[in-house]
Amino acid sequence: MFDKFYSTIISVAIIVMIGLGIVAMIRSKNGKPYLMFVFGLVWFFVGLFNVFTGVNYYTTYSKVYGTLEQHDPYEDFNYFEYDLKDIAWYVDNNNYYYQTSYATSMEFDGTENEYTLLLNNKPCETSSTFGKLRGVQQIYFNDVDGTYKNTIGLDVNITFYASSISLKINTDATHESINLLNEYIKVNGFKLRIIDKVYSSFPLLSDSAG
Amino acid sequence: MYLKDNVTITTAYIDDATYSEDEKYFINLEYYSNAYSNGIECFGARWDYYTDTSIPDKKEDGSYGDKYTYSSGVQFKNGYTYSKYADTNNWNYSYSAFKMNDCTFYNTSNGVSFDATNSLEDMNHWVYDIDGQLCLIEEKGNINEYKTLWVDRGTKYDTSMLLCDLYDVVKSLPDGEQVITIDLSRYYNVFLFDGKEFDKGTPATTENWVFVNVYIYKTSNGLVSAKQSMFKSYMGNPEWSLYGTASENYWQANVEYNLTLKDFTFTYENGGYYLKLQTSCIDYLKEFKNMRLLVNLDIDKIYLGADKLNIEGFSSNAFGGLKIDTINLTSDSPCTFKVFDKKLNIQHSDNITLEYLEVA
Repeated sequence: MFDKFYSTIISVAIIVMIGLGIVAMIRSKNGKPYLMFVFGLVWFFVGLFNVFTGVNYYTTYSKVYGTLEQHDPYEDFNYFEYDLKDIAWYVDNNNYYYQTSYATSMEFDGTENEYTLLLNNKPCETSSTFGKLRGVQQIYFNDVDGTYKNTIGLDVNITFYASSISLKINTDATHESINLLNEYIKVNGFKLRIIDKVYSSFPLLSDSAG
Repeated sequence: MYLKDNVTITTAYIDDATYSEDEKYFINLEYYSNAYSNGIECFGARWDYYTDTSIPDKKEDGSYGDKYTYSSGVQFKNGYTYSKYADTNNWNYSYSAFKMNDCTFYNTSNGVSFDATNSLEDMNHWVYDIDGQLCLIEEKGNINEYKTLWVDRGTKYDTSMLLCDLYDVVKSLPDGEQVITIDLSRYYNVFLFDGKEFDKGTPATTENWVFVNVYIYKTSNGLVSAKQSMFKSYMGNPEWSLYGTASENYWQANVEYNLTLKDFTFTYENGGYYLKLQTSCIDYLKEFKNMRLLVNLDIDKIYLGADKLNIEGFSSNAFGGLKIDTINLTSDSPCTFKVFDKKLNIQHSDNITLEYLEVA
């Protein structure tokens, strides 16, 4: 507020000084030619400015110089990806799960390195040790009126053997809520991504276990 | 099983299949053994091929392309019977094939959607490609030499025998993706393409052209959904599912993310120390959409440095523009927690008093 008042005072002062200068020139005998010269100069530059503006306006055109690419914040980091959009859930005592294995290998050391597990490009709460990686994610569903509908938890467990990778995904979805998860997968797909990077947190505060 | 000499079963990672002379697999198998008893047993075989009337143009690199034009296959359901037996009255062996009414045939010309049919396309026009050498197959043998239950579906006895042998092998394999090499000449005559036509005078016998790689996927899981199958269908039903695939609509799905003390740092303002999210945390979370950010803090455990200075509250821009769904504060002793943003949704234990401050 004080800044606005200050700039207003300055603007008024400048206008007053210009006005006083013009009055002085009009009253002075030899001032009128100088005044006419100043006015002529001002009109000349105003006219020139308008000509340039008009030319710019009517001759401007757009041109494509390149394309925007979706930024992948993890593109520079090693990652392993599983596309499970056709996932089919198995059932054990009203609990749904999925399991499979891959005849491939990946360098993994959960003790020396840190990893992030993303599910549909959203982070899981990830933990790892030796040859095991675990990621937990809760999906919170809202209905069209904004009210809470349900929450489904996903527990991803990946085991890295020398020549194969074992994957098991447990959910706490039941017969009643699995339909929500099916719709979620239909809309969003189901893509697992393991990246060799973790966002670091700095325990600056004491007892930072939280 | 007529496997390549000196090679019984090869196990390979598909991505590193340097052994393979033909990268387009002529025969593909899938077997859900249901050893885990969590679905149903299902065995399927698919042939990918050109036909002798639709050979694609040869490319500059000498190949005919990375993919075949057609696919045909057969899928057997749980409970099928299979046996081999010897006809002791005749030196010929008889094979009992899979039950006819327990299988479905599939054909496709676009490689994407399979149509269920009553029979395979005529195999005598199928062409496979090994390193740019096209090979036409022809079923051999006659009904008197081999007897099969396929007789009422036509004389597909060679294919029946091939499937019996392949099933024997698949059952003995471990789970996963594997490739084996088989000698096709036992089941089919193979004729080579000379650039203009197929030489049907003399069947090929050298292993270069008659030994083909068979891709196998095997799992101890059972089949629970049609979309698991390579035909994206089960017994002709692409919507089949053991547990149902009904879906329920919703408006929005947000992934929860819990922020705890380790995600925060401190700032000095208003004569005291206040909490704010670390910049690295804000930058990290800004990359994600549809997140439900939750904050859980035990105030009794928050103090700064060796002098154990108290934290006054949340700083004026504590969350860097991130939308926080709910903040949950707990404490065992009475305390005051200062907050600049009145719009924050803060749940707190009864002995915490919130004090709202104005931004200077």
